[in-house]
Amino acid sequence: MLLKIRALPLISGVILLTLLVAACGPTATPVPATEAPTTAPAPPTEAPTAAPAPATEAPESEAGGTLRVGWTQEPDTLNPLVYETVQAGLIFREGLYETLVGVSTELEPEPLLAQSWEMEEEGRKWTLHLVEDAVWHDGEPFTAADVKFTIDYIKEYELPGLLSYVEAIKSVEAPDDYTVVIHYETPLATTLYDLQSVWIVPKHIWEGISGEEKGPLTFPNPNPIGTGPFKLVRWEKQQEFVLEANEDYWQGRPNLDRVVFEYFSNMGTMLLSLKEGTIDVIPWEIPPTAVDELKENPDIEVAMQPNLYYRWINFNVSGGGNPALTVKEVRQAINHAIDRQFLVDLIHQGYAYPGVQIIQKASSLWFNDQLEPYEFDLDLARSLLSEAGFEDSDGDGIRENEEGTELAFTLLIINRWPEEVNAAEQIKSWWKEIGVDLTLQPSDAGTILGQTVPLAHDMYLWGFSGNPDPTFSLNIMLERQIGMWNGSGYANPAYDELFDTQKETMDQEERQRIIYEMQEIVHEDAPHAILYYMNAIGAYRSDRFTGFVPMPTGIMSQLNAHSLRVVQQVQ
Amino acid sequence: MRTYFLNRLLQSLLLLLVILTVNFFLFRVMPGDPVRLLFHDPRITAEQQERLSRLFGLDKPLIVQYGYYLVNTLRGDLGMSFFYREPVAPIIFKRLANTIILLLPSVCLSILIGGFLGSISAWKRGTKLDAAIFSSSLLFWSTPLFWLGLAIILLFIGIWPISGMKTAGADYPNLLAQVKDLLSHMVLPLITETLVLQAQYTMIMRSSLLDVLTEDYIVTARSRGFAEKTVLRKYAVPNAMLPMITLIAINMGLLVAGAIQVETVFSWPGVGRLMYDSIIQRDYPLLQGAFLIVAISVIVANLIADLVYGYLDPRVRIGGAKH
Repeated sequence: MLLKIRALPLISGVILLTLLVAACGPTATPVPATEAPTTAPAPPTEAPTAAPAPATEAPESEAGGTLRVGWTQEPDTLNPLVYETVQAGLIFREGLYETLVGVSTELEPEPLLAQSWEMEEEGRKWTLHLVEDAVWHDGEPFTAADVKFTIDYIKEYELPGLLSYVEAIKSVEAPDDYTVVIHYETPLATTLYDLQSVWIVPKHIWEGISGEEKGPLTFPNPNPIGTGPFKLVRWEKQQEFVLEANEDYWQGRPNLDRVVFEYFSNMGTMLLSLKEGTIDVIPWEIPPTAVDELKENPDIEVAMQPNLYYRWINFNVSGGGNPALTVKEVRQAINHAIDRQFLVDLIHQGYAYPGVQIIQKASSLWFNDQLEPYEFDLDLARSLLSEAGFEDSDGDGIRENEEGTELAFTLLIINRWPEEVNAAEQIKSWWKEIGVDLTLQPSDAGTILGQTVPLAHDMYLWGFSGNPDPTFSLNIMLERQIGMWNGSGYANPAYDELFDTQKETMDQEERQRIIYEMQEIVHEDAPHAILYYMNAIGAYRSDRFTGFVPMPTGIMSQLNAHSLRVVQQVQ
Repeated sequence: MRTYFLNRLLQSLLLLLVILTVNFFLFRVMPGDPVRLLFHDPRITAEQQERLSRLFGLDKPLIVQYGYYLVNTLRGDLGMSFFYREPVAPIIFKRLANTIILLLPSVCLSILIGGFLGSISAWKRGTKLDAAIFSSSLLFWSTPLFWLGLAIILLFIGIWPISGMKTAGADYPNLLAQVKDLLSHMVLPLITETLVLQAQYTMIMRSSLLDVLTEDYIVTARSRGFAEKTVLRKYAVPNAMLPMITLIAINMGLLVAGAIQVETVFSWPGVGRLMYDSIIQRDYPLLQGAFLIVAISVIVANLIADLVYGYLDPRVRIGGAKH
């Protein structure tokens, strides 16, 4: 019996000893890939001992090196046809796969795998000319057959993520290796934008993935083969995600040798690691509260880009919740009782923009900048409510109308956004001043959706991420999306008609005019309160790397295919 | 002894069945439809949703799903993760291994340190040494683990790695390099977890030993002229260890779930953190699988503890009668 007790000290002693030995040794430095170029990359783990180069000298750049990226959320899958996370989107966009049409730094269509195109028959026929020297990661040449296969495949299996971008396509032809012809039943204004989102996959691999059980819906794609500038080395879930340069990339080998994504469970240690130098860049998750401190650090550059993301409060105008919300003046009144700039300053340290309507400010072509925002005006709010017949007749501080409907609402809010809970508390106090009572109900996303989809709620605070093409953002106000993604119950036949018209309007100016009008309509009806347009805030070690390409959504993002190709080390 | 063992084994299996059932129904009762949460495209049609429901087996009646669940579990098939779309069992086992790699040394060290400090504290009861050990144990026991972890990170940043289980992106020339990297990443989380854990065991050992020191056989031993150290080593401590074993076994379950704190602070890819993430993502199969594995571990740990106890203390085997 005593032997058992003695075993413990022995085991523990051995452990302690090995720990001491290990701890005294040097920490492992990431070993560069064996195909490294002849120039030796600088060892990343040591803090730079030299002072940063003075501003007047242009830093010398050098090929090679490993860029270490930090993130707190990982991709869900390596399958580009069924993924759901923006992190997966980032990996595909920056590295593994490519689309026919690229996303320019102004979010507009630009040539990528399709180098040029012609539109005929008023948009019913598109001819695309493909790049001729692109190869797949396994060496096979990229041809029009792959494009035809990909589009047919998505349609055949009705893959939920990408179907919406190809379902209007009637047929695809590949008359020769580098020409693709796409036919539509009716002209589609979003053709080029849609093609920005369709990842082209190799026919010779995916034609073998078939059937319901073993088909694309469940295929994890562990060895992704794409045409992109980087290849996958390995992915250890919630630890490391390693990419290496594609030597045969058709636009030229990227400067970097490797990109390593390191997973962090909490923001604090990730920021510490950036400051300490064990990682080189945090592309977009930096909270506004960390910005000022990072800005003071001479080795770190903060990169703030407008995002296609906004936070908003969506009202239930269907009558399924508090019927007072079916009255337009009530909704307009409470919109006037939110000081958005104040919230931006308080909650986001000023690093966001006051929200106006459902198209994001970053979408420069489509954002209607002539709309008048709802100014913070409590008196105007009060008069609007009185006009609508809501007065506080019983003196309890809450207005009601003649039928007895009280202006008392419940706001569902995601508890993982403590800063928005603070914002909601502030809103609650403003609304109290105009005689509206607000109850906050923090919950988690799943529970909230459980109430909002059947339109059983009053209002909820949510986030929304748009696409370069505005159709995606406009979609959520359609009557036919009720029960799916229309969380307000808004149903306006005039709006729906304009939506269907703009979808087929090939002339950009005319389409813009229609979309401007749609925003006007919704803005006037106020079925929601857009709070703010957020920024993608990133930061990187400017003493080590340079060349990040800034554009809306961030220096690295699910839309930015430009940065990782050209980023290089500073010497 | 054999009947005792078989008895305990049977009880454990029954308990397992109950846990399986509760496990299954618990997650089905949670609000929030997982399919909707998973597929975010606004244009997903009702048909597509139905298809996906069918694919993941969510459309069948609850009792049928339960039947499938039992059969599959016995075959080792714990289903497919909603989020990763990969089999659940390998994911969980790998993460459980990671948690054990961190917790096992921590528990061993804590038992050793706790047993040692607790003994001294009880033996020197009333002295300044006792007061020092007692109060520092209380301090560490009541300190929130994540706070302590962050403090340790700030103290030791730059000396040892502050996150992860390995250096991200590293390729190792040999096994030794890999082990060294792992060990250097273990240092800080291990220190944190051990500091908190040993405090608990110190207190347990202290009170257990204090209790034993009042027993008759201790008085007898002393009156027979044995040196104090001998009394301690041969009679007091071994008997004080018994309740400690029980308490440690009970602790096991909390340990694995509580590992989530140290795993979050140090980004350690363990099973505690996995469970938390699956809750947020409504990843039913993954969550179910993780709960199951953890429950099995707890049952096994308690079974072992019971057997060890039965071996060490003949009274339990024979059935209670004191000699």
